[in-house]
Amino acid sequence: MTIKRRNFIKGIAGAGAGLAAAPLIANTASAREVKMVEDAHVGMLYDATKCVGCKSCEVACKKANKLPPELDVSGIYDAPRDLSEKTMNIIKLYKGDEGLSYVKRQCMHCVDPNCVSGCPTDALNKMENGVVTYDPDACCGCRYCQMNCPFNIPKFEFNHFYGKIVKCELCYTTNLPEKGQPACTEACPNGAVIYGKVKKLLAVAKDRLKQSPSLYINHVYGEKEGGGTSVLYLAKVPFEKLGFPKLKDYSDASISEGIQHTLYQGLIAPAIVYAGIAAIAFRNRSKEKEE
Amino acid sequence: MIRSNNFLAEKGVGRRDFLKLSTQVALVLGLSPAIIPKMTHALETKEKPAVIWLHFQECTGCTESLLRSSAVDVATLILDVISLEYHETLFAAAGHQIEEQLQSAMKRYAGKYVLVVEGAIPTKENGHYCMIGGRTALEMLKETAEQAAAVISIGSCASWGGIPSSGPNPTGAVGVNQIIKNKPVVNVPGCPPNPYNFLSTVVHFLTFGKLPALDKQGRPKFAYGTLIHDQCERRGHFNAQRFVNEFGDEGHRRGWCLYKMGCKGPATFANCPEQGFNRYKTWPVSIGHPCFGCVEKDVAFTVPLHTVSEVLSPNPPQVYASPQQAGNKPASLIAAGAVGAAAGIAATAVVMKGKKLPDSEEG
Amino acid sequence: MTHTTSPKPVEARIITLPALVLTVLFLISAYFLVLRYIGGIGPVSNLTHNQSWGLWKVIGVLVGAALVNGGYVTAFVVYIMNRGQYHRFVRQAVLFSLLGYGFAGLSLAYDTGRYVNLLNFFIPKYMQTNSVLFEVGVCITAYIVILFIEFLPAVLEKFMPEGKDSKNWAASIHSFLNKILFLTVGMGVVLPTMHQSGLGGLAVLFGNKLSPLWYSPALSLLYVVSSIFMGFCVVVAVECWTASSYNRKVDAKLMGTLLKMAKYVAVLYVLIRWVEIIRMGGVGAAFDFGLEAGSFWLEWILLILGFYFARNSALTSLKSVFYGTSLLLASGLLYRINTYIVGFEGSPGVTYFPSFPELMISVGMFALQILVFITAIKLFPILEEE
Repeated sequence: MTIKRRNFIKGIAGAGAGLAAAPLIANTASAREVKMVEDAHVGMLYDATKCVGCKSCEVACKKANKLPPELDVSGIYDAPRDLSEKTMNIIKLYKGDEGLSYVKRQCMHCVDPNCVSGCPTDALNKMENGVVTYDPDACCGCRYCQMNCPFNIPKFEFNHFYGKIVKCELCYTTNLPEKGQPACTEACPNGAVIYGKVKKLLAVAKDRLKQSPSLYINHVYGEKEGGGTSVLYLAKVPFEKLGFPKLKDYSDASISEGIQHTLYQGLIAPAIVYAGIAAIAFRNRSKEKEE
Repeated sequence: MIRSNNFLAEKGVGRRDFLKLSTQVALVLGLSPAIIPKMTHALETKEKPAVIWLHFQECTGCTESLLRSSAVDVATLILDVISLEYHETLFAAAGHQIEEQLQSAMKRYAGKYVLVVEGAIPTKENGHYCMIGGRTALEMLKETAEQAAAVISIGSCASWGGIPSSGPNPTGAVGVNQIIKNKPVVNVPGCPPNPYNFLSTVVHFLTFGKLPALDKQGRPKFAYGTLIHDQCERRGHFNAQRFVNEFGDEGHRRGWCLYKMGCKGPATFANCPEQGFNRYKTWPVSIGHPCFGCVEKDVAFTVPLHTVSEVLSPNPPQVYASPQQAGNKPASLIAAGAVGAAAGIAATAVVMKGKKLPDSEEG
Repeated sequence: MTHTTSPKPVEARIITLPALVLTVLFLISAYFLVLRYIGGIGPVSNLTHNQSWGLWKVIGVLVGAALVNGGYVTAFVVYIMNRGQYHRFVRQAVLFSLLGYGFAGLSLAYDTGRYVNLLNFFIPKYMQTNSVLFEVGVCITAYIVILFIEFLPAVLEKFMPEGKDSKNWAASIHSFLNKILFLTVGMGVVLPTMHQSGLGGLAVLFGNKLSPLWYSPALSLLYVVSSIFMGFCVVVAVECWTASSYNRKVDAKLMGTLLKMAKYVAVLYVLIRWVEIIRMGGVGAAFDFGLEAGSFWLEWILLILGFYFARNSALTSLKSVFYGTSLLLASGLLYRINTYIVGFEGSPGVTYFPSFPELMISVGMFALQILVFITAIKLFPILEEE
């Protein structure tokens, strides 16, 4: 009797393991649909070859979003070294053998964001127009978004007793409704960064690559990286040198959610396993009572 | 004709005026004040170089600019720092007389005279687009340059073609160094150039017996070695992103940066902000108009006036972050020690507890 | 269950030297915690934007939860596999599970920036069910409730009168809980499976930031499997520890059998792990010089040593058993530290080492857990009678 039960248990254990291993064998992503850029999604196109590093966009962002200046090491200039809880948009400079290039960094507003997928309390959301927004009232400050963002964009107020996350929201509540575009694209003097529908911007970017191939690396960063981003980049210097990670063509969220859905969709699998286990425990108990 | 020193004294030009000029030149060259006595002495005693000054496709602005240099009493002194042997604007003579003067000066000072060229040289149709006294500019230049000790191109036209060469360049206008290749050609571009750039080159030559250090385009480094952007008095506004957006707006009235109005300072190498023009040291930006890059061949009459310029070098004090920022907080010795201690204690505890346990099965 | 069990409070003084030391450690952490609540997480820790999860997350939640998975494993073995002879371990396993998970939950109170909003996990408007972290949070909370229910009988027994026929409030609750045990036990198995896998699944979103030595879509599975063998190990290790500390007798044969089960599961873990390392292209990284590769190989060295001490021929030696389980546990702990700290590269060049206050907070809270455990076994009937 005991042996039979043991085998039965082993069977369940095996089934459980198999269930968990299924994503390995089957195509994980198919358990969850692939997210694509929609027609309504807006974003930006940044062309590093046109940027002159004037930093008007940095200043405009701070003004529009009422952010404080971030002093450099000498304590004089508003010269942030990186994105931070005071700086949502920054111009960085790369000087190297391949040449000189500026690069604008801010939230990429990914098509299938890791941060949105991982946030347990729904503080980060991808809105209808594609902007990824943040709600401090929902946020519990777990900082999972900081860990899972491939671009290290969300910044947490570590030195505040009740800190929140700070990141570019494409001026969703400030410049975007008031002026129809984010503050940075409005301020740029020579159109290095422009605003528009992502699909259109992608076409513009591809057109630039076609018209002046010698000016650029033949790649639009953000078209496919991590499942795609709403902010697209063109540059003359390799993107890794500009601080962009080399990413897969699909998003991590599709894998993670694929696994979650396979295992837990509707809590069916756990319910079945639970029912089985409770039944066995009940039988064992009654067996004990008989003895 | 070489004027004697007495002539100058007669004219009322004294040592004090030479001193003033030397001081100004030393300033322009960026030399220490200690050089001034040497320069003054050279001006007083050395034999003035003979200068033959040719005009081709030009507006004579360069000459005018020189005449307005204000360090000392102008024209006379200038004409006595050098010994001007041929100058179409300043000489009273004309026609056959002046032609004769040119030929005889060339013969007399062969191999020793300095040739100054103002204006571009047309090359299409064998140079027929500029003819003086029946000869093309091309011919004149080649002939005169042959016996010259050195050639100075004054102004953008002579340096690289200037306005006449701007698209579509119907006359095929080029700068002097496109034609004269077998001699050192110093370019002093500008439209017009700062007269002290020219003067200082000459005085340098006089004092030290050689030309000042030149850059790859043959321009004296003391004047054309730094970007205007890096010397501009409005740079602080650029750094702080205080830009003029429209002529006459509040920013314009407060003297903010003209970058968005198309200032080509960030792409132009010259010393205008330092030296200025005229007695009050003004230059375009200082009076509220963006620089248009008059010295640079790729900028001046090529890039539209109000098109935003590229910035050639991001230099401090504009501090830029680098693309990779780790942002680490360093580990402290105490913490490292504490972790080591904790691990050590845990391991020791496990071993000690284990020792107390029996090695073989018990009952 | 064929064996009768009669747990009793351990006869020993409550205030001992170890207890005092643990109290002092806790008080130190309390001091730093006050600083944390006044000035924020930044001043008391070395967490940075690029390495935002550190010691607290790793120790408090991951390591702590795995370490105390004894409750999970023993519940499964006893109530499901009906191996009644393990029943005696259940209570202590449940207690240290309760403490471990309870403090894991408590660590969130100081490790999150907006701790009041932790309640949002339970407000439908804010629930984000796609999130692995959400699942982990809800499951752990539910599991703590279950553990508490499973532990309650031990507390109640202290208030129950002697004699089989007398009844009071404690006795009625006690008998009710016994009746529904089969329901709670089921949850006690399903919930840990879910959240242990979740603790691994969290790292799937790290994507490229996680070294191929640890990244895999099968992280959930690897974490469940490793938590199972770690659960067996921790039951054995605690039993040996308490035996050693309080001069109690231990059934070496029983311990050995538990360890055998642990080994089978550990072998499964090793197989899956290596398949994934090869699949993810991590073999190259394993032979790079550096902290990552070093820490990676240390995991396996600990595992191999653990297998050595736990080899079948040595299973009769309690000493060997204890060392074996400790080493296997250490390997599992290191696996978790490696996944979230060593193998995690927020951006090139990021390094992280906890600061002293950060460390002391973890140490103090862990000390408090131990303190509560050793006090509880002296106050309540938890450990088996000698």
